[in-house]
Amino acid sequence: MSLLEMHGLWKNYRRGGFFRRQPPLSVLRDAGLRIVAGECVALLGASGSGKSTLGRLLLGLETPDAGEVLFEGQPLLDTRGRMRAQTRRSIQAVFQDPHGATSPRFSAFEVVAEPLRYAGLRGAPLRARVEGLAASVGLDPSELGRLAHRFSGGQLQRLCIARALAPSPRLLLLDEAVSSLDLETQAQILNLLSGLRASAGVAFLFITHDLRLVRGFAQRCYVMQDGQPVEVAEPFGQGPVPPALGALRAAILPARPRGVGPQLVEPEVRFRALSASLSMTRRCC
Amino acid sequence: MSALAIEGLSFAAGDRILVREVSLVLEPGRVLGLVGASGGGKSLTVLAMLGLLPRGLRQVAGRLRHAGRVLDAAGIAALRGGVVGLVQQSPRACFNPILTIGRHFAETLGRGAAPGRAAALLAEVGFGDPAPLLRAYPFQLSGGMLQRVMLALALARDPDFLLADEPTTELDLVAQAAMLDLLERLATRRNLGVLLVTHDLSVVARLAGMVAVMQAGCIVEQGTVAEFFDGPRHPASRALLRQHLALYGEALP
Repeated sequence: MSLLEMHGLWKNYRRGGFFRRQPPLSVLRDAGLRIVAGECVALLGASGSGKSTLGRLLLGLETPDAGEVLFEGQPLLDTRGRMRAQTRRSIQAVFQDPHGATSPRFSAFEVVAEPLRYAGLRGAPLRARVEGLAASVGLDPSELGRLAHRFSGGQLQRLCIARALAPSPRLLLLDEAVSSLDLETQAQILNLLSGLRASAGVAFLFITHDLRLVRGFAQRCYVMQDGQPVEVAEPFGQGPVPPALGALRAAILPARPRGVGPQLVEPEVRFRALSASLSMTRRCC
Repeated sequence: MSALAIEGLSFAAGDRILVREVSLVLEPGRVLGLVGASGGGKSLTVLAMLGLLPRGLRQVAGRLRHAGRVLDAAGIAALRGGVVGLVQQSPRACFNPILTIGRHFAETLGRGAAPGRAAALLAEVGFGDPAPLLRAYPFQLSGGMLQRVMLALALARDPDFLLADEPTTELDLVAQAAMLDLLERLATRRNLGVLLVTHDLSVVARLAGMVAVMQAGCIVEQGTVAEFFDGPRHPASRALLRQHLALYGEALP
């Protein structure tokens, strides 16, 4: 059984103010997506293609105009738009901007402890759990007393991952979670996430616009095309791909400057090189 | 020789030296890439070039030279806008949310500006129909559009140099490619000297002619882009290039 199933989703956003109505913006049109327990699914798309809207529907932050979202076979939201507490704990998210996602007044400890307090944890067990989570994302537990915003972007994002893992979720939404980090930190965080997925058995929906990050990380791949996620069997393959994916591919910058090293100027040529190395896993340094 | 150079710049927060003896030269029509992991002092160096170091930091050594002349604090302040334009990372944070785009231009251009100058600038950065844009508020534009508006504002007073601090980091790949094409066109047309700060080596590969690698507040390697991609010497440069090439499934030569 799928962990998460979305089908026939439609979502429009109202535009314009009270005095000047504009036609609504149609974001999702008959969209569907499936995630099996423990797998990592990538969702690719340019800005404004609706991938974050899909993520928000999955979190229950938005209600669809039509269609349904099933989590473990049950509707995500009941008829009055509420989510069961158990389900709410099971679906967690990490967003792009860790500074915007944490309170500047909280210490690092408080950031991770907050969801656990709602679960009724107090005192020594709470401290032990928070320190364990911090260690699992590669943070030094002795640093937890510092203000969260004194951490660097990469460290703060690790903290957000620890917070998301705190309620032992079954599904983690990663909405551009590594996009604003530098290359070294990106590689570290993706490695960390792969390890956590293996050890905690949590499924990922990895939303990104950077096709390069998907390789070696995600098992299946969807691309947003005309308001619908379209599954692509081989995003780096040579077969036909949806135009939206073609555009993302063509936008990948060359690995090397012109006239240096192996000359792979044309996007398609570049991709043949990429797909040839598909089996190669990401290396971290 | 109208280059803009920083020479032996060091600054500190209290007793801690954050940036140590950094020297960079910007020449008209050339793009210099400044790369390195985050927290290495890249953005602080850019701010120091405009005399905009945050409160609590003080310059302990070094000077700024423009067209052969060493500049004092007033001289550095006079560079802003007219000689050196700045484009920063997060376009949304750089605009005043309660002012229209047109008001932002009015503020930058001053009162004596020709009518239609703002529209001409917006057209230059690739907006086909700028008039409705001038009436729009920042939240009504996408990140990529705001980034182009910010570029138009930075170019409003015809600077000779452009400091671009992670200009495409928050954009998606499609918008990033368009933005880099635009930067290249403008740098050529206006003969701009560009300092391109980034952590993404593919951006450097696309646009820069020279590259400087910064690590923990020091420039550890400086040379042409071809030299850098062919054989980086410093361990930090090698690590950067290795991570970069791993994204493309290649190993370090």
